[in-house]
Amino acid sequence: MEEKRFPEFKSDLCAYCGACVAVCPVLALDLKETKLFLDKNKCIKCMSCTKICPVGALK
Amino acid sequence: MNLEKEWDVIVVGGGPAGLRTAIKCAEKKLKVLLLEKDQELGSPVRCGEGLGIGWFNRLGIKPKPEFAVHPINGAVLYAPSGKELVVRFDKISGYIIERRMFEKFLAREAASKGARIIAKTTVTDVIKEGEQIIGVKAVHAGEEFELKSKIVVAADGVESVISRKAGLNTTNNLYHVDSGFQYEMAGIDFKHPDLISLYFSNKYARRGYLWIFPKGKDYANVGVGILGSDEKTAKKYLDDWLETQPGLKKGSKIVVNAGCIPVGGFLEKMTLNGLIIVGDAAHQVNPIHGGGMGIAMEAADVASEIIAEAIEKKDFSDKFLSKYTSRWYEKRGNKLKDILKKRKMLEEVSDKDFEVLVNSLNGEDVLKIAHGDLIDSAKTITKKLIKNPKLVTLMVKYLK
Ligand SMILES: Cc1cc2nc3c(=O)[nH]c(=O)nc-3n(C[C@H](O)[C@H](O)[C@H](O)COP(=O)(O)OP(=O)(O)OC[C@H]3O[C@@H](n4cnc5c(N)ncnc54)[C@H](O)[C@@H]3O)c2cc1C
Repeated sequence: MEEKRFPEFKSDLCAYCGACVAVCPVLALDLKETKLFLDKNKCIKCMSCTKICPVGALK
Repeated sequence: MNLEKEWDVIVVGGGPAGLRTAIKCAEKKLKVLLLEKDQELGSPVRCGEGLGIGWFNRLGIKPKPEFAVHPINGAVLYAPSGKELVVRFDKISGYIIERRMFEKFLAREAASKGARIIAKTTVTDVIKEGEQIIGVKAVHAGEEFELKSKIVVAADGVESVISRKAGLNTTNNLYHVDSGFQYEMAGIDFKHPDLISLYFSNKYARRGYLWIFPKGKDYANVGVGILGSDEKTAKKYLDDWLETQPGLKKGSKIVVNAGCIPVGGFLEKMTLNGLIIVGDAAHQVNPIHGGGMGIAMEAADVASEIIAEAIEKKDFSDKFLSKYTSRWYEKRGNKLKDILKKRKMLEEVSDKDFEVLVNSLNGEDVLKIAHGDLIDSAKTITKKLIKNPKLVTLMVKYLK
């Protein structure tokens, strides 16, 4: 099985739509206007945010 | 911040759900404050901006030219082969609106009725006294402050952070959420500027559809919504499809917008002690076409009725407020649950079978299926079945 990792964020692709926040089960993501923060203490590496992201900014 | 500290109602979020709640609470003479995190209401837009005429009528909103920018007379459905099924009415069936203007229109109405609205103010958490929510923490231009209210309305959209912080799990499940991407395009050619165009294809929009929502004869919102868990991004689906559409591909992209749509993860519980959730935050969206504006505003009307009753009776308990949940399901939620069942059937339809369907149904049948209940749809389809044996095979395949 692939080793679990944190999602990788590419800010230049981000459209700041909040889709990732909507699916994050542990509220580890915080969108403040045009900044996205990932709290690595909360993140459970489920990768839901990478799947929903409409533009591939989270991988 | 120079703002009164105690309110009857604090609404979090200035989209259609929050603004309509503010209007209705103000009409009922309640002291209502709405806080919106963005610096401009109505922006950024995350929406195809289509609103059916039924919603204007039910909600008593006049389609003013300042926001209802383009009338629509129906829809055209495209099968994967390109074959079209036109459903055209002899009167206006809806409008493509300009959300930027619509939200401002609603905000002006709320303000003139006595609601207070403050932009660029993020609600960061709720304040609790034991199990009772009694207000919010907020930040405006770097300044933090606390405000009290009898009831907090979480109308914070699909992100739905406030309800979750308050203790209600509204996280969107990847299966019940669509990933959406859209360009507002100008200088394009498309066939039916008086209709919305919907394209179905598993290749270019898995469990969803592509759309052209016209704002003029060479100007439209062009977008796609797909299953949230799809590995391929919504943007990639749209870009790939545009390559196949010469009339669109050559156009200008004047706005880029993305977003996700809660299509069917309905909540059993939409209240807590002192809290009511409305709109996308409560996943109140049509599970087939993803429209949520009308539903959000209707839910806001139900919520404000209950809020007014609660304030009159001085009862802000979850038990009292939960009347909102049952009333909403009676009025709308149960219908949406039926629509969700239909979507589950549609999801199974392959591109090839879709061709058979489009070839055997006409525009009127589609209307019956879209608007009627499951029984009506079944009747329509059964009649067709008798005429087209190929459909029988399909029914057996999908309705087992
Ligand atoms: C690509 C796409 C296309 C769509 N097309 C259509 C369509 O054609 N027709 C249709 O009817 N619907 C459509 N929808 C759905 C529609 O946009 C939503 O259902 C509708 O906007 C829901 O309204 P709302 O008020 O609940 O949420 P929103 O409109 O999302 O408003 C929520 C507001 O709350 C604010 N907010 C969030 N958190 C906080 C906080 N902590 N503090 C303060 N403010 C906060 C946000 O900034 C936002 O302004 C589409 C959606 C997408 C993504």
